[in-house]
Amino acid sequence: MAKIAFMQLASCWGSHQSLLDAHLSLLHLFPEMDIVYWPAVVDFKMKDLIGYEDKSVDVGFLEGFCRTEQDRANVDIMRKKCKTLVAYGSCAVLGGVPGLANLFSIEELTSRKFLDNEFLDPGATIPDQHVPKFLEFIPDLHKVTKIDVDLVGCPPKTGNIVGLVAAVLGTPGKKVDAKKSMCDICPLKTCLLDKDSLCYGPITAAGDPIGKLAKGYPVLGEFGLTKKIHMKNAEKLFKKITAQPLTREEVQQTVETLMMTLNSVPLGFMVGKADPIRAVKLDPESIRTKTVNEKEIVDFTVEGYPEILNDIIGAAMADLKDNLEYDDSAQTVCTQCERNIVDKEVVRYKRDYEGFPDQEKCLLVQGYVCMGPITKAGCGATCIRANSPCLGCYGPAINVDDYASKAMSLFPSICKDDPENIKKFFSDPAGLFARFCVPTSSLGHKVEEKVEEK
Amino acid sequence: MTPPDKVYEVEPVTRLEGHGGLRLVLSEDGKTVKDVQFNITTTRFFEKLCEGRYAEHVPRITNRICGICPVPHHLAATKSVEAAWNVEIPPAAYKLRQLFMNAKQYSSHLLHFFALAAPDFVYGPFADPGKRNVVQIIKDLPDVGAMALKMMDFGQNLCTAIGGKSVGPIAGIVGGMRNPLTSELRDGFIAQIPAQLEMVKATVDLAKKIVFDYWDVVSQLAVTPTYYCGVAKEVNGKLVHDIYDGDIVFVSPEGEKTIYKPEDYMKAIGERVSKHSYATHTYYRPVGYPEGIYRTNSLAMLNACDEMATPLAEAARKEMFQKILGKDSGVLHHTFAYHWARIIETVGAFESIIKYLKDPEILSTDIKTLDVKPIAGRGVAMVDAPRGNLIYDMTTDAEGICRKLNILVATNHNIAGIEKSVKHAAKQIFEEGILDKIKLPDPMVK
Repeated sequence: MAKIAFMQLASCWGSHQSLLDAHLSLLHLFPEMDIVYWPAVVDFKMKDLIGYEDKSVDVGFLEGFCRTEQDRANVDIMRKKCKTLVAYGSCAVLGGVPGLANLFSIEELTSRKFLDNEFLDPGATIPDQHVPKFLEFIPDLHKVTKIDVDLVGCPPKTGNIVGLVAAVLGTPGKKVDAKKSMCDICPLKTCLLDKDSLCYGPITAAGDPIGKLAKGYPVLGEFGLTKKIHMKNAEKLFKKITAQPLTREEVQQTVETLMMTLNSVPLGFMVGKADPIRAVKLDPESIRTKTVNEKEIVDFTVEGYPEILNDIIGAAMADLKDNLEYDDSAQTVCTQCERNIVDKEVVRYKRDYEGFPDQEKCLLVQGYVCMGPITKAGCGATCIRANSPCLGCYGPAINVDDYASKAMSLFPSICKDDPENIKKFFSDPAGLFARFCVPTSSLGHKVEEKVEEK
Repeated sequence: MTPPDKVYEVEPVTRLEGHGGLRLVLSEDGKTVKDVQFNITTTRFFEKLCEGRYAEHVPRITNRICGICPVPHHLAATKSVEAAWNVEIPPAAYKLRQLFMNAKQYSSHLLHFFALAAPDFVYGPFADPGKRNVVQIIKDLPDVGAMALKMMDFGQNLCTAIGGKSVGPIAGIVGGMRNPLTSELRDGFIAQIPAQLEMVKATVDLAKKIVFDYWDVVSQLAVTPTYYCGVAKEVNGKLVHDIYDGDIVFVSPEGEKTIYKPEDYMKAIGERVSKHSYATHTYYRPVGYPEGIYRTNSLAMLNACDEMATPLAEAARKEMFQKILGKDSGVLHHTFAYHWARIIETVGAFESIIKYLKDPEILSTDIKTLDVKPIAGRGVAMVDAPRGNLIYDMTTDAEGICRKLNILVATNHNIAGIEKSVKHAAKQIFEEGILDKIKLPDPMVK
């Protein structure tokens, strides 16, 4: 059983709630987890955490950011006790929405909170009994301590969290039989490949329980590769991949399959640059190809596996390399959005309260500021599906260095309105473009100019 | 020289979704309670950081105040801008918001009951701290655990269907809602009603068993008179329980009710800074501090209303008042009856969910008025969040930019009341030795 600790720094508990939203999956996860610290759920106290041996906790989750000296001390304790430390949620990874506080000085913040007599009884002072001191500004957590894994999102999608926890626990409750393929145990009457649907069952190890697959969902390599390939179906699969370019949905399936089977990155939503799958787009020159059955495929070998398996994976990679639906070099929220882009120009930006957004058309094209084009994929375009523009809670996409500056250059430049109107519209660029990331963006925090006395 | 005090520090207070420490100061011999402090050890300055932002974006900022009750924050903030700009929303949007609030109420109250409260009663207050939690309940009582999770799942999924996300929801907008409910989703939830109803009934039975098993605790420990602040809507001369749309109702310790419009909240509520907490303390202004210490949340809601909005909940409310006071209504000061009151509100939330799901207008796509125009103005809005009264006081300029914001959340309202009731309980325990006199049941699971 893995020992797990959850720490709440200054935060809202939303990332934890997102884990709890796994609901029935928790029946399988919780019994496998040895939770040694989780104040909102379990009664262990700070003295218990301090008492554990150093590096005795397998994984620690840090939700929130450092607002007080106590938060900083808690980060240090967690680093000391945990082997792996996860920055959990956008506050920890990026600074978060409350990171907007860094646009003000601590004096401005505390005087509104504790000394504003429009709302508060007069005569008050800033609390100082048995409360920790405030830090001057919210620091980038990665500069406070060494973070091993970033799990971004406000909150991270439940599936992303469960995926990470399951990776830590080693897929609890699943039995894998690598001596069989999924085709060997497939309950479907008609093979999906015979219906011209993509299914990676022939190269995937048999697993139990098969869950949604019994209802006709295609296999995505979820139980790893098998050496006992289902030959007849494998040939069908090779033909299917090489017959014509894969559709958008098939590209998604293929990417997920490759990620899960090649183990190049532990989880699809975290980005590793040395990843052979993304290399087909990021570094196409380095890709060697070969010809199999008159089809050009990527020359790729998974050591110790039959040739047909390598051919299938090579064919899948070759398709991704040229497939316009796969743009993983900059996988953004837009790549997961199903809206139509009719135009690529914005006539005029609209405030969110104006009109009612068309549910089919790209929000940005309609004039609503949607951060999708520069935001890292992973949420499944959640907000946009609810007819609301993306605000960027998953942070910068892989090819975006500084989120706020990228937004500042992108959004005004694609609008054909009068520049003065555009300028007026973006009167609060920091609040809009750095909504989730002031502390980690180039903005950082408010700096007062101080005249030095000599 | 005075002898040193004996100090107990609970750091942190657990099974609480916020940040707090409890400090109990006793005399050296441990027989006199000198002080109780509930220290809220952090704050994030949301009111200040909203200044300068587009007002219609504030609901997408402050929904990050609380991960358990983001829906009330999202909607209270939206309503406050609507109040500042004189915006009327379409009837279908009103219904969608009521459904949204009740779905959140349902999942949050069940989370509170099963994950935050129940472990104390299932394992008993003196159980091994390592066992006293919902994870252990799931291990020891998988059927109860599965039931709790299925109910929370229903509520959270309904929040997602309406709000786009259950945590940090986004579909509310100044002028209404942005995300119409589809018939496919609606039908899916309606199909689950019979099974959910059985689980609601089982939860009520479990809660009543706990209340009756711990009757000595409920009826004797921390029966602390305070004022109460609830939300209710006046319908035909009666104050009806309502978590989305109502007036502020203050109840005196003797049961006298005074009604305030939300925009008059500052006449009713004073806000003061305590030296030992980053959350400010509020009090009932007409009587001052500390006499005007009050509490909000479920018990306050039941004290404030004359009746619940739905039949099963109303019957349950009467049953509780009859059992404790021997009459249909009055004022209850029984801190441990909060759990019972919360379950009654859960029943009410479930009945409201059914009512709104079955209302054909819930599928309307006419959910947003196009008549929205920023003006310089000030608007106050109020809802009742699962942990209590939530007030937004929004000031915008003519461009619709937030220039000033005051938020009173449940913690502000409750913290002084929590200190008062904990101090009362501490006196009963350390000075009067009440634990030797009251009967505790055997734990349900040993």
